[in-house]
Amino acid sequence: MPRGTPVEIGGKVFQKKGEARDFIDSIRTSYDPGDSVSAEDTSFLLKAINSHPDYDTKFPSPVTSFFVGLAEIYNTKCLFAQMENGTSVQFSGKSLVPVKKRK
Amino acid sequence: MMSQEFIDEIFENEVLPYALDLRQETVRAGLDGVNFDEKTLLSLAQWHDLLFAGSILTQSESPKHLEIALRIATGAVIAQDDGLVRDAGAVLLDKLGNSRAQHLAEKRELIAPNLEARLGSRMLIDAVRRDVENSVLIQHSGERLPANNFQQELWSKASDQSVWVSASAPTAAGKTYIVGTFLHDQVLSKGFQYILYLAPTRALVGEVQRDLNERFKNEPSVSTSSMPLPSAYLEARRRSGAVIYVLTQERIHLLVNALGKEAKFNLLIVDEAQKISDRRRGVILQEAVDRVIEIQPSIQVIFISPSTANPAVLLNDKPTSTRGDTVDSSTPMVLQNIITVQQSRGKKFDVGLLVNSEIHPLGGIDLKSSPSSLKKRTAFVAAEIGTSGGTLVYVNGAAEAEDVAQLIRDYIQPSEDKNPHPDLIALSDLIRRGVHPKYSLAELVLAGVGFHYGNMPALVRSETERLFSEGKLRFLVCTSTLIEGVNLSCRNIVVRDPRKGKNTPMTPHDFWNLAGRAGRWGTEFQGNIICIDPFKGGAWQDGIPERTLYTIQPERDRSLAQRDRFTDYVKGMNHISEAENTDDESKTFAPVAASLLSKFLVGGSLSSTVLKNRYPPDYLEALDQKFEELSIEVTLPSSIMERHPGLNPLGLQRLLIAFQEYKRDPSNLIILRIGDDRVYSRLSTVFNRITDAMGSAFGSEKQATLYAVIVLKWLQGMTLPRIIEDRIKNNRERGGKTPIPTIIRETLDLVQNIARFNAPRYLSAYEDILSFHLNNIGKTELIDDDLDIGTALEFGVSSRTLLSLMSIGVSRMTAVEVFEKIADDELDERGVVNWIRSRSEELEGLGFPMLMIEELRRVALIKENTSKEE
Repeated sequence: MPRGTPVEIGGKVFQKKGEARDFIDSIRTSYDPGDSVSAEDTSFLLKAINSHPDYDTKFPSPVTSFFVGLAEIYNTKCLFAQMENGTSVQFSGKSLVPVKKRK
Repeated sequence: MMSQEFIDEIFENEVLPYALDLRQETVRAGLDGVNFDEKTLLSLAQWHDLLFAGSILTQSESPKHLEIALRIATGAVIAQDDGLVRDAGAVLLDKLGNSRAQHLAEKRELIAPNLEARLGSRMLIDAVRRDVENSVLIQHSGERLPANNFQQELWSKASDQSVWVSASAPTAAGKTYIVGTFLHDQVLSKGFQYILYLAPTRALVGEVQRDLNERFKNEPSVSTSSMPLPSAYLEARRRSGAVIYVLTQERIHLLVNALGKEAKFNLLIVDEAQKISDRRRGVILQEAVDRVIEIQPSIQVIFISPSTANPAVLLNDKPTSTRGDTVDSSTPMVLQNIITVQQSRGKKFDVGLLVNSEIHPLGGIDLKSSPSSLKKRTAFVAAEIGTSGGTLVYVNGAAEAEDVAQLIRDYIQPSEDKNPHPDLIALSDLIRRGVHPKYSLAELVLAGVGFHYGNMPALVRSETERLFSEGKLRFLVCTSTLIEGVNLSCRNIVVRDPRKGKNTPMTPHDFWNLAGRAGRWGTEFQGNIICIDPFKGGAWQDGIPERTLYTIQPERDRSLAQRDRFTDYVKGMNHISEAENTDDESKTFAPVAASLLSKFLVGGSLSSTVLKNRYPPDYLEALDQKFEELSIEVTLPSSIMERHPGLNPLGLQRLLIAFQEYKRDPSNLIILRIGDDRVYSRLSTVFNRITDAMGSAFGSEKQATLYAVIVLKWLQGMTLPRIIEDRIKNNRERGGKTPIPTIIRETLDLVQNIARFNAPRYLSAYEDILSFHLNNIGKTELIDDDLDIGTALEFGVSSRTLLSLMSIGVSRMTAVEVFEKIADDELDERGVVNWIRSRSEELEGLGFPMLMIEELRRVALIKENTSKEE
């Protein structure tokens, strides 16, 4: 019996939060910087970003697509959301997996 | 005619015994800052004898005889007080076909005015005859232009349009001047319409274009362009006008790519043609010439090179039906002296004259401060000897150039004029606005000291050169860019431990190409090459090199000459990536093998190319066979190979395979344009993809990201100060400690070598191959027919308006400043000219530096004349 609580993100059920984090990270790493994310991954991410703790401030305009890009400072691969207002925003895949609040 | 035997006898008996004294006399009259040893060298009677001997030597064809005759003539004019001796010297200068030096003597009041009135009737008749003999006829005006022997011969031979000419002469022989005049005359008198002027460096392109613009400024039907865009050519055809393209070899390829078989030019001039020997770019130059000739075999070609031993080698690949001829002169038009300077103790230095490897003492100099470092030694000696201006100081790198220039300014500072010339103030302003407010050159030029290296923006460099030529900048510290074909001469050149780049020892020919700058024909009587610490083993590993002529060996010929080794290299070339070509031989063979493979793929056999005239059939067949085997793997069309000379066809093929094997959405392969948020990340990936397929073009992944940033900013049309400022800020934010001058130099280097050289070549090929692939897989909707990325990058523009500004001749630096004030980003050439004209009176108010305003008005005026014609 695996430890941890199953979690649903982006319409997909993961047995553990770690699994969810790995899955989202695999999206990030499987693309080259500058690549647009596939339709399948886009569909998942569109739902998954609803779990972002600061959804309203992070995505002020409806998200239309995603791409993998290089972060400004350290040039590491990151996920970016492209929004309807023409701007894009970098977000962390980890932030889409809810964390247990400490008592 | 005198017998050569008699001339030799006069030389041996009447001149040689006094040659050393003669040299010393002339040197003393033209070297500042030296306390000369007191002694009388030549008596008046000896001067009379020498002048007689000199007049006989003018009949000789030997460069050695003519050189000493020039020294006698010059010495008589500058080193003697006696009026008759000076007059005789001036007549001798005229007999040598050196009327420029004679005019200089008059201008400096070394001879009294109206020399002709003092000549007897016989001498006068002779002088008039010489005036006609020593000149060329300008056909379109009927006037005669004074010319030396080299210039006359070049003019006469090149006037036959069916002949290819290869001309070689020392640096100060007036090559560029006569070629410009010839071109002007040919266009106006014979109607040459479509002309290509190949200048191998961007610096030379700028210089030649400025000269031609000036010559043709009142000729509305003639346009010049340094942009490889077909519009100028097509426009000239439409209007039955003339066009002169001044382009590097890379830009010629871009132009021919755009024009295709339409590229039918009448005349091709190849300046600094010895660069056909250069590694890598030599092949690109040769291929540019080959391509132009293949399209128009009847084109006339004129090669120009400085002091080469074998100018005829450049005619080897002419069509068999075309005649070829050489013009080969090694006679100098100004005197050159090698002066040695070495420390005797502390601030005291001995000065000597080097003749036949022997140093003859002349005197000494006392420095104001102790030269505690080698940089200080160079700077202080230059400052002491070069006070009267025209002093060029050669150093081995950009950072050293900045340091030595600072030291010279510091050394001369107390005596400096506190009110700099307005032109220097204007240049300083331009540098602050166009490069960076903290660029040290801005402050230095106010003190009459400048530096000069390859990666500086064109407008700053050309203004620096102009103000140095005019004497407003007294010192110019430079690097090897100067050997790379910038026509800049000087009075003194100061040099210690010269190298080409940081570590490559300077060849004797390079040294003499540099030393040849000493002596401005028509401006100075002589030039001094001042060699510091002249002994073997130390600063001069092999001693000061003997004067030598450069042997041209085209890069392609050099490789093909090593038959067995080259064939072996070709055999294994499909297993070698560019990154593995590390040894000298591979580096030489790689571009040649790539170029020949392209030729094979285009024509199906090397035996049908120009090579067939010079290489044995069995050799070419053996190479054909190897290339046949290699070509089995190549599925890219040959037209793509032809469009990208210098890039390995096998590497290009690997790029195609990478595209074919790409499993994701092919739209991810496209190079995005400015404005897309993914553009930076995508470009980094594209650079890595190119490196994977083709070798080390863009280095590591980390480097690729740095390059992507620079390339995008450049492409965006960002000003240099902003690009530099961003890097300074970025360095600060990351806690970096790189000094600002280093960041400025690095940025200039990245812009020139990555954004303007490597990136355009590779990205242009990438897009071509990608278009081919997208066509094959039926994704034509993804192909963007926008402006060729190679052209956009080389000029650093991404909008139509910016490109139009640059194609009418405005420098990028000015273009990006002006673009900030123009709302419309789709203006064509006429549109930008109209904009400048309509704002002409407001330009000062818009805050542009004065030199930019002058440039805009100059360019708009030329274009205004052109449009009036229409």
